[in-house]
Amino acid sequence: MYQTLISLLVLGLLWGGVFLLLAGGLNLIYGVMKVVNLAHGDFIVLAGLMAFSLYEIGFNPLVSLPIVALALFALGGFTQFGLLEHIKGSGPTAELRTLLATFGFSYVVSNISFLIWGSQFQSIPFLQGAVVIGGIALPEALLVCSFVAFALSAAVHLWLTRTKHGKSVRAVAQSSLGAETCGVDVRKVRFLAFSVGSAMAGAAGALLICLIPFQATSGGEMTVQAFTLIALGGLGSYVGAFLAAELLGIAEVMTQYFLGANGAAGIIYVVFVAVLIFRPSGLLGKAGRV
Amino acid sequence: MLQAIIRRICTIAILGCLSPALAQAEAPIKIGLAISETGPSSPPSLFELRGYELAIQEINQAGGILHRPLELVKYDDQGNPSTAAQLYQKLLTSDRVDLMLSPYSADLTAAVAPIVNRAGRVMLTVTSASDSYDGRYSYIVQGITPAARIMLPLLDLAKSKGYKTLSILSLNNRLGAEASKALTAEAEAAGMKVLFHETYSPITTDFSALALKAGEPKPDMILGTTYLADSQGILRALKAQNVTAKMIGFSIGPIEPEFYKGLGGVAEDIFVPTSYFPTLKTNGNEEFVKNFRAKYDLDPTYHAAVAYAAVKTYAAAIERVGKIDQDAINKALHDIELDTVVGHFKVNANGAQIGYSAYLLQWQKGKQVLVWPAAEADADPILPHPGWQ
Amino acid sequence: MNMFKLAAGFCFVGAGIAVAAFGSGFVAQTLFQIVLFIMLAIGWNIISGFTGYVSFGQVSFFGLGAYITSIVALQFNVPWYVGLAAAGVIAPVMALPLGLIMLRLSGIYFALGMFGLARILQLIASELEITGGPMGTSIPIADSPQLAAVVCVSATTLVVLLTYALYRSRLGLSLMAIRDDPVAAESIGINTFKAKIIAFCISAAVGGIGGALYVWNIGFVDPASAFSGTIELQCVLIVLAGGIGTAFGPVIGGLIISSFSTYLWLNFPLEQQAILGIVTMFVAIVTPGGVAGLFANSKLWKRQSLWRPIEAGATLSNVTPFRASGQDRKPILTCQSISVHFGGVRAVNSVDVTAYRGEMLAIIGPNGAGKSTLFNLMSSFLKPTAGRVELNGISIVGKKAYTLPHQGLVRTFQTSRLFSSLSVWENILVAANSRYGKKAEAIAAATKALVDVDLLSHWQDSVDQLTPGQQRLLEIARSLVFEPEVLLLDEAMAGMTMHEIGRVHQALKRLMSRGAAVVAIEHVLPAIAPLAARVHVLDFGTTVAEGIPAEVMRNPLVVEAYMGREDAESEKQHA
Repeated sequence: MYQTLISLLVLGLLWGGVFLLLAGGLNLIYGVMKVVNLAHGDFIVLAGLMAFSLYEIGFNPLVSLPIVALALFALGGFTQFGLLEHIKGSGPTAELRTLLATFGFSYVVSNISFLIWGSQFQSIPFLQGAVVIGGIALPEALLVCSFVAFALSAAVHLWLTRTKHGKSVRAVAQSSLGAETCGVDVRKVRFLAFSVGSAMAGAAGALLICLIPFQATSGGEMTVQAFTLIALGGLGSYVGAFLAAELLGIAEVMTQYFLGANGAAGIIYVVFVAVLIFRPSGLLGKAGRV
Repeated sequence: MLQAIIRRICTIAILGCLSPALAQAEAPIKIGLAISETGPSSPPSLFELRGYELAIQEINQAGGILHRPLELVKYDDQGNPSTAAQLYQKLLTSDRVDLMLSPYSADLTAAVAPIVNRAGRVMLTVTSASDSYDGRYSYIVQGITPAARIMLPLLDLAKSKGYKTLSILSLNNRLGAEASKALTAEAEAAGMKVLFHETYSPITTDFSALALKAGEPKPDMILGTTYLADSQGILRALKAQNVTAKMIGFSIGPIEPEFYKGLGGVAEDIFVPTSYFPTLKTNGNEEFVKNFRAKYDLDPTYHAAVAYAAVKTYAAAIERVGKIDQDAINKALHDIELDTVVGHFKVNANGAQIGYSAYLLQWQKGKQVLVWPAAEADADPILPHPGWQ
Repeated sequence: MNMFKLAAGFCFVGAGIAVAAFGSGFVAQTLFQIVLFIMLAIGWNIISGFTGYVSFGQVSFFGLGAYITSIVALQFNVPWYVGLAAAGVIAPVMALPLGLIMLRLSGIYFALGMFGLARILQLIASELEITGGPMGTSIPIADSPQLAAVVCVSATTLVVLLTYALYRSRLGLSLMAIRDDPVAAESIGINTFKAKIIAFCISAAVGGIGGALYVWNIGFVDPASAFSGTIELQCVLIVLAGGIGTAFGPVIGGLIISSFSTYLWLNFPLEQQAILGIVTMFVAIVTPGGVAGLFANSKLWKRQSLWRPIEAGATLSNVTPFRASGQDRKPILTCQSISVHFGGVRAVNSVDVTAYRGEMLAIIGPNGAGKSTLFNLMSSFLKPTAGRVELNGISIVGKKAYTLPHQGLVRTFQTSRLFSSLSVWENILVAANSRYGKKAEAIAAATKALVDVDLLSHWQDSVDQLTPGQQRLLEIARSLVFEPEVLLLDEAMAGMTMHEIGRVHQALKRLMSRGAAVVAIEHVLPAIAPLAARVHVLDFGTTVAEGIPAEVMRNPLVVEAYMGREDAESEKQHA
């Protein structure tokens, strides 16, 4: 029983990493731009399917990961420059319009994925083994996903706190007007944030397709899950997102084992709503002030 | 008398040569359906569509039904039940189709069945869940092996090997619920013991805990009533947690070629029941497989075969009635017994299929092989499962 | 004009019903589908457009309605209209407790929380026996598609009329005020929570009826379609395309989106989603207010103000002043050693302030001294960490902010917080409605307040047409509608011309002559010096000095607070 419990705990933590991988890019973009990229999941799916095609011609997903991430970096840049930058104004109306624009774009991306790859589920037979430590099996795919998720989060954190670029990104996140008066090129920073966030979605896609089969229409569900996660953590909060991911991972695995698999997939929403009742701005979100 | 015979022979000869041209002179018999050409379930839908189109092409080349060609009226429902309902209303009233076929999936069929039935129109379906054939709709007839029977060949094979215990994982939808319920009942009737049975939601992506739990009682068999993505997810988790059993079998998912593509070696030795396979020695199957490959450059799946058989069954029923009369065709479909590419078509009073049976495939060295029933098998099943490498 | 609109509406609905009744089954079905989505979009618009609570889970009530109808129909074997009515009644009743929980959230958290709620309900529906589990259940279907369409068109027409009535009602006005600025709405005595709950329940009723119609038409219900995210998205798209927060936006959007997607689906089956996506992006970038927004300023479409001021010259005597009475100098608002801490920051630290009847108390201090925080404590927008706040001898600590205006305490804000989508007149009226129960009284009070600040001629303007000074005047007028006993003015006169300041002084004098207390925060003492009886100086959250203006201004600590220590030193030496 002990062994099982530890196994479950480890699996939960590792799945937390997968959740974090799913949501990391979205969190960055939201944190800096207060923009919810509703095409996030479709970006992940597109990236995953690209990795799938690269695998078909002989590329290992770990090799295609940077290629795909770069492609998504470009796509993210295009989205920001070609689309979101043209939405003027601020306040709730502008937020809603941005939401609508990314929503429309999610249709475009998933439709393109459909036209290229059809809508069959695809996945890559890679990292299917497990590392066994003390009788506890650690699935390779989960290990790699978690590792990349944590590494990416750490890298982004370092980038934000230690580099000049990163600092200007944080400045924009806190006050775009203030940053602009300090001579920060706000447009460039937004471009950078959106591109890096999209590249993170690309990296996620290339790995997740080794774990979860994708089809062209899978993106919507992923966006929702990723978004629920970052909202649970407190929008834009990195530590919050990490806590939320681990909480959801463990809740999901434990529910599946102890309460039944049927409710397990929905448990993230139950946890989410339950947390919101007590903390209306998520785990580590800032409460609004007058 | 003689004159009449000669005229008849001449007509047949001319029809044989010029059938398309002549047949088109007659008003076509319209067959209508909505199907998910786009949307999440488009891959199997497209196979169904290919089956329908091939059958219609063959029938038209042979002169049509009642000297009238068949015409397919189809729409894309995108897998959305309310769109499907709207489209069937359109098929019924503005396209005025003569015959109805079902959309893909039991969920959509359940959504359109009340509308079609209300209009007093016959609909031959190729969806396996039973709720549309439990007596509430008198015009809906099933043309595929019912969900309750698809898992049974696995049990038959297990019985012959003396396996006694099993764990069942089932997707929480129509097919999963019915198939796993029947599987449990049949297993218990055969003196086997269901050690574990759990359902999971269609949005599940993590199966780790479920796999651990299913393997804990050390069952002889791990069986799943699944589709594609979930069957892959479960297998990945079984492999990663090193959970094994003597026999591992899943419904539907492993039939798709993507199953093996996505899993590689993990897919080896996995069983999957099916209602059709290209090597079956059923009536007309050889020709069907040949024509299908010629037309589409693909092997027919069971979706294609049941669709093909459905059109052929309609043709036989109409030939028997001699006119397009919904009630008469409905009666004919209920009465008829027919050997199609899928097997022996026969339905009960409620329209549920009782003739078609199920077969068992196994992935062996990257290929699906028909392994059960023994009489039809192309190879012996590999048992017990050799464990994960 | 109104007759014309009415006639056009009648023709439109009549044509709809005729098409529904005599069209083919397909036409009826298509019409049903379009009109149903219009209804659902209206339901979404009530909570998200009027109230500003964007929801990603109003489909919850669609699903509840669907299941209520099917359960009622199957368990009690009642005719369809009973099931429909049941959904219309039970769905809002169930929405009440859900709203009490969900509406505590705001912004994106509310939107997502609602999405989660829809998922949870879907989970429950697929677990229960009575709902038919994950496979759903079939229920008695409408006798014909034509009947379903006629009922749907009629029901939607009713819903449109009700929405329009709501849009033109006191409640509607309050909802729009809440959407524009919930804090300002609280400050004029609107119980925003209650108003939101009502809107939530109305929205739920509309959604519930929509769900009931849906299952009755299709004869079948299952969890996946009942709580389908696609339905939600379609509603959002319709409302945004048509114009969010407008009365007829959902109708226009519904017609446009439905016909456009049908066209795409027939002509571009494979690329339809991408095309729809591109059009959506185009709508988002090019037409911010949706299609209705394009015509927002046309005469036919412009939102007409609710009610109108009394014509010039009419008597305003029936306006009753607030409780303010008696000229004796009695304390009315007292703060006893109040403190509030944000984390380690002591924003206000053990401050004693008292405001007396008939007097102005000026609160001055440099930026960040805690003046506005003190106001938030006085008006119960913040709860003090320690200390007492009493109004007329009764503690107001922990009271809801919206109750205070009704007890005679009204405040304004440091930055302009007008309701931007309402007209000048409505900005006042919404406050008057909150103060006075009778329409005539509210109109009279609002008119009077407008006259007081010289803005009557601007009554139809939108607030952004006013000068900054006029905007501040309007805010003061909005509080004067209450004829308050205590008026808290937060830098209310910043940016006003001398003439405007004169106006304000006049109004404040009148108020004080009736025994009201005015507490004013100002940076610049001269703006209120002529009126202020006493001055209270704050710095770093503590009291530096208090007393009559002339004395206080000589206090070295005050000079130091304003000019910094060194400057103050040198000034002293200089002297």
